[in-house]
Amino acid sequence: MSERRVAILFGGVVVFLLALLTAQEPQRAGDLALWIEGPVKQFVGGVAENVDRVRQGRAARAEIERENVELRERVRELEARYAAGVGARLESDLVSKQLRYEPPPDADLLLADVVYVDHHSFRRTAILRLPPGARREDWSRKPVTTAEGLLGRVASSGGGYARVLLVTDRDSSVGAMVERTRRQGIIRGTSEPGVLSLMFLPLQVDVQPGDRVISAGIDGLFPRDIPIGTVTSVESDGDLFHAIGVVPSVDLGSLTHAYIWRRDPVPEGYMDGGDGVGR
Amino acid sequence: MVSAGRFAGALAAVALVEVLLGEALPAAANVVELIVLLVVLTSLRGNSLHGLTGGLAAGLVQDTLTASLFGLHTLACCVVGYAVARASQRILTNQRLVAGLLIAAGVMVHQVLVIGLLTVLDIADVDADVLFVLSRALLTSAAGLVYLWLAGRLREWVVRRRTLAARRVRSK
Repeated sequence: MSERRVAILFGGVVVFLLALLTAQEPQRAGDLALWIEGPVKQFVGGVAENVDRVRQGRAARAEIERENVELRERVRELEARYAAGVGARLESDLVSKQLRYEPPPDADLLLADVVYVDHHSFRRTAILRLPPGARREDWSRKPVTTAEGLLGRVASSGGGYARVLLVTDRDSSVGAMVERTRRQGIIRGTSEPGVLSLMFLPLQVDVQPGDRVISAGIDGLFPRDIPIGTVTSVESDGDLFHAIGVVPSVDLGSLTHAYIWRRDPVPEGYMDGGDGVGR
Repeated sequence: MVSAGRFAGALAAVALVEVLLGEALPAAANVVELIVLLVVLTSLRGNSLHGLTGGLAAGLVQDTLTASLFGLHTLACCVVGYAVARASQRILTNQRLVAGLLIAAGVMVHQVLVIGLLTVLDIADVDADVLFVLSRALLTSAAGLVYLWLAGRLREWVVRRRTLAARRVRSK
């Protein structure tokens, strides 16, 4: 008989004898089975856990790789946009130089937290918490914007806070123009929350729904070219002017931060006798 | 290689000695593992199948003589017989020192298996005394060496007697 067969026979005899021994002590046989089964189950469980971990790791890695590809694409896109912006800025500087145009000094923006918003009540205001280094300054009549566009102007400030009169308030008025045609009018709040009215645009002026409305920079307070909203409706208002509905570009329902422009407005005395624009 | 008949006779003799020693000198019977000695000596001269079958037969006899679980000594003797037979195929076992070491190792393996199985199966409170196991292995090994020396002397005497008888026949 070959050694291999003898080894198999030996294994069979050992197993048989172990079974015989445990069969004589069934209680202990159960304990012995548990004693053997426990580490085996622990080992199998550990292997399964590690396999699961490796599988999850591979899935996470695939997700990260996919995200990485997307982010690289996004970076490329932003780099292209940035390059286009730099090019446009250089072109603009060149044209400005040729036209001998001197832009106003850059406004210094102050980032502030929005701590209170009321855009449904009679007085539509927001309250900003000023950063510690800016609490002693007088921020009255300073423009307030967000990344989306014009939010309003500071009505009063003190105690580390600034109250902002929203652009949708009925007492608010901003010099505005239709971006496409550069025709100017006045944006005012209406009784309906979240709807602005572009006023004093004659009937012969071309205005269409979808036109962007931006600040005109003619009210002594707000800088030019800040997005205000989009035209939603155009109707005739009597014989002279359009009745134009505008939806604000700033989503008043999701405000978290705002920028206060550290920009000196035109002194109030200079605007006496005007039509109330900017007050 | 030991024939089956001679092994059976030796096993019967060892069993008889075990019984008689157990009756007359229980301490001596407890100290020397005669059956394990027989298994090791048989396995030294045979292949692994002889070691396995010899261990199986000797273990069954030992299980019959003792009052413990049936199969306990059979398992231990099978392992010892098979292991010694496999070892003897790889090393030279003609020297008495090697044979003595294999006997001692066989006894210790036998003891470890028996004590381990008794402990795992929780059959009896086993006081595993290492010194006792070692002394048992040494004494069994000594007994085995004495047996091998006596067997060698006996073989030489028999050869000498046969040679002398042959010379006498030729001189006549």
